[in-house]
Amino acid sequence: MFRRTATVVFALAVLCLIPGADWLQFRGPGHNPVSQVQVPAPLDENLRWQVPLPGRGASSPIVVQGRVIVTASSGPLQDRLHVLCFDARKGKLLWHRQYWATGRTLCHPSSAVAANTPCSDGELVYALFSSNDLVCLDLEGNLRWLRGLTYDHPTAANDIGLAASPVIVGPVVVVQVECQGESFVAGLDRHTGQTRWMVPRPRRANWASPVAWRDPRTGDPLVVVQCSQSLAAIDPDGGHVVWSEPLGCRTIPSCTPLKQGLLVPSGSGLMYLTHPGTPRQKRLWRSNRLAPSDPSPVVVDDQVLVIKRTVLAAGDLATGKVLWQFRLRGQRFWATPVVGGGRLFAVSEDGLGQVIQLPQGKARPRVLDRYDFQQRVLASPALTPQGLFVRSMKALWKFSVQAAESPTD
Amino acid sequence: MRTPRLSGCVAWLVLVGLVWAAPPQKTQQWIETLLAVGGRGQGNVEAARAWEQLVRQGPETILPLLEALDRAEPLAANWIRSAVETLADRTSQPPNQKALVEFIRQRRHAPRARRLAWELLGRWWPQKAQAMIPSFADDPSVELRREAIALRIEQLRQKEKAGAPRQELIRLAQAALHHARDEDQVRLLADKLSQWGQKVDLARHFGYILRWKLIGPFDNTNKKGFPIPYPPEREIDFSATYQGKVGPVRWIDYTTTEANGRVDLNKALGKHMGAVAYAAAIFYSDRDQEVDIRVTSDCAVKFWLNGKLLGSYEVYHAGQRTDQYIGRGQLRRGKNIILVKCCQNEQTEPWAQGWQFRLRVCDRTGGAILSTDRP
Repeated sequence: MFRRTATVVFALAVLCLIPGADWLQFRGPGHNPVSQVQVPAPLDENLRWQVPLPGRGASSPIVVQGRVIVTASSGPLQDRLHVLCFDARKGKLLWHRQYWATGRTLCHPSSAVAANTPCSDGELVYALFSSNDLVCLDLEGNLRWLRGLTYDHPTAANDIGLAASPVIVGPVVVVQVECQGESFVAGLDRHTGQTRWMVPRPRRANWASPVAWRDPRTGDPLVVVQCSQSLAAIDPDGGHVVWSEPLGCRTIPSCTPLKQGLLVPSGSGLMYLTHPGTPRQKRLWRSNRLAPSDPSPVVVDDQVLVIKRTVLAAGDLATGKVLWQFRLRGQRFWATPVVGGGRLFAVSEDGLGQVIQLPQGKARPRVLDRYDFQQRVLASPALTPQGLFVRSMKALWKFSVQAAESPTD
Repeated sequence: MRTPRLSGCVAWLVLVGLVWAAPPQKTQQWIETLLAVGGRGQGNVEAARAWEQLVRQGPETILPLLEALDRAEPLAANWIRSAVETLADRTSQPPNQKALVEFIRQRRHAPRARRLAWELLGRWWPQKAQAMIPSFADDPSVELRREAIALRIEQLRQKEKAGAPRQELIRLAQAALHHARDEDQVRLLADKLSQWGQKVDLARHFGYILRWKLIGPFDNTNKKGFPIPYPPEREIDFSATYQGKVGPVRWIDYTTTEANGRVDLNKALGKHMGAVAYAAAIFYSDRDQEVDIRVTSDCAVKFWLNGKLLGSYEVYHAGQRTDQYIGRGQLRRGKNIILVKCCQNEQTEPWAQGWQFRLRVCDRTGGAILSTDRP
């Protein structure tokens, strides 16, 4: 008995150490939600657990060292903020911390104050809310620091709601707050929450998230931020703008960083920009047919996948040529799909999850499974070796293919 | 055999606990460190150290933490809340039930502190917490009050289902409505009463001002009018005529009939884009009193009470939830003047054509305060 238990514990410990086992931010590793783990199907047979959440949320779950962390907001004014941590294996609640919003909590009725996805460096968790409350906790739920960015900058608020997710780059956690009031990108010290730098931004509403990217020439880490007027890179150490391109970027889908460039949702299209901010900068292609709606683009090998309204489209990454299109079911999509093991999982706002077998060669995409969550889903899922984690408006779900549980568990 | 060994262990643990428990003055010092947290990250490092010490203490630390919430600014309050929750998670013993109940009963404590205390009570003694709910109907904590109204709504449903007489249902619903503050609960009760043939004056319940004097349009081309102090910001003279955007303008009387108090400026002054309008209301109070002025608008707004600016929000067409903007001001005994500046921009989208606002006067809980001359 002890031996079996020890084996299970050891296996889990190993699982947590596998590169890519964690899903530490919005859209996962590299801001491109592609995993080596296959999307499980059929979903109903592989549902491991489902837990209700104490509030609403459009924020995605993150997975850190065998723990699933998710945020929620509750109350008639959505002013109670929650950070919850579950055991990834069993769905057991490990801790639950609550805070009072110190900023504005107005948001579109279809969204929530828990709209921004938290991020983690593997040791600390940074949970940001639409009220611009940012809390830093360790994995045991101990509070390390907190900030109230609307408390500090009272006009930094958007009554439709803010949604840009924070990102960790070098020594700072980066937050992007853009609205009709005071707008900025700020780098806060990861360990103390002190503002290391702040870059003023246009006073226009923006929900796209900042991304971490390495300069292909120097290998230096950069923070890339987009808005309706520009695409810019900021040095995470000093906060100076390294380059800024006058480019009308989209304000909901975020750009996807690649080794040599960036896939940028801009205007009514999608653009592949290589070596931005350098003399070698080149717009490799721009395609209106690959323009994503609200979900961000996903790159799988040499293809880019986008959801345009209700159509899943694949394009050739080198040329931008559309390879195939496939109509999904559902009214509208907010969640960026995840891809793993040749399968794509997309979920519509009205809660219809769909597992699509991505085609090889000249084959067509094929629906492997559909699953009705019977709840609205706005959050992008997380896919790790421990499972596929989906956050619906009021619950957290885990799906995974695994052997029967050990009797000692 | 086991019992003596167990009690021995417990005694040992208690002894260790006593040895390790920090003296009260040390606890107070740590709490003061949390209270010193300010904006822009000020005091976070020190607070983190104090917080670590506090969450190692026993359940006796919970009450001083709750009391500290009475003095806490919003950021410090979150540090304290987090310490209370963490302590409650980790402590093997609950805090003193009697002290907790007494704390909840004392309405002088901060509403949030009492709500948190009630949640803690529910964690260890759910029935006791449940039993307190009916006493919250007129509570200064809107969150606690909500529990009591929810309970009354549930009781109403059950009585209706059981076939209670209509008059009894009406009486119960009216009593619940009288205390209800949250919009969803108010509307639910108003709908019920309406079904039973009872007219509910929602504008009165919320304290929306319906009678206004309006003037405009003044120029807001390119949104330049928001900072410009047009004449109504400098003087309130209802007989005056000023040069407006498209010609002379003068004050007109306007009474809205909408239940939510909405003043539709497109209807009242005509459709204008890139325009500023002012709305003034005379409000009579029977005493000096602090009030909330709560404004809802999808246009850029400023609002004043007796010449004092209470709110300034240059935001266009980004939602209009009830009580969007809250300003705290002082009503004088007798006549007061409330002034609103409502700016429309030049967006062409269909959803950006609204030029409107609503304003209510209420207490901290959202309970209506009505002008004494209101019919």
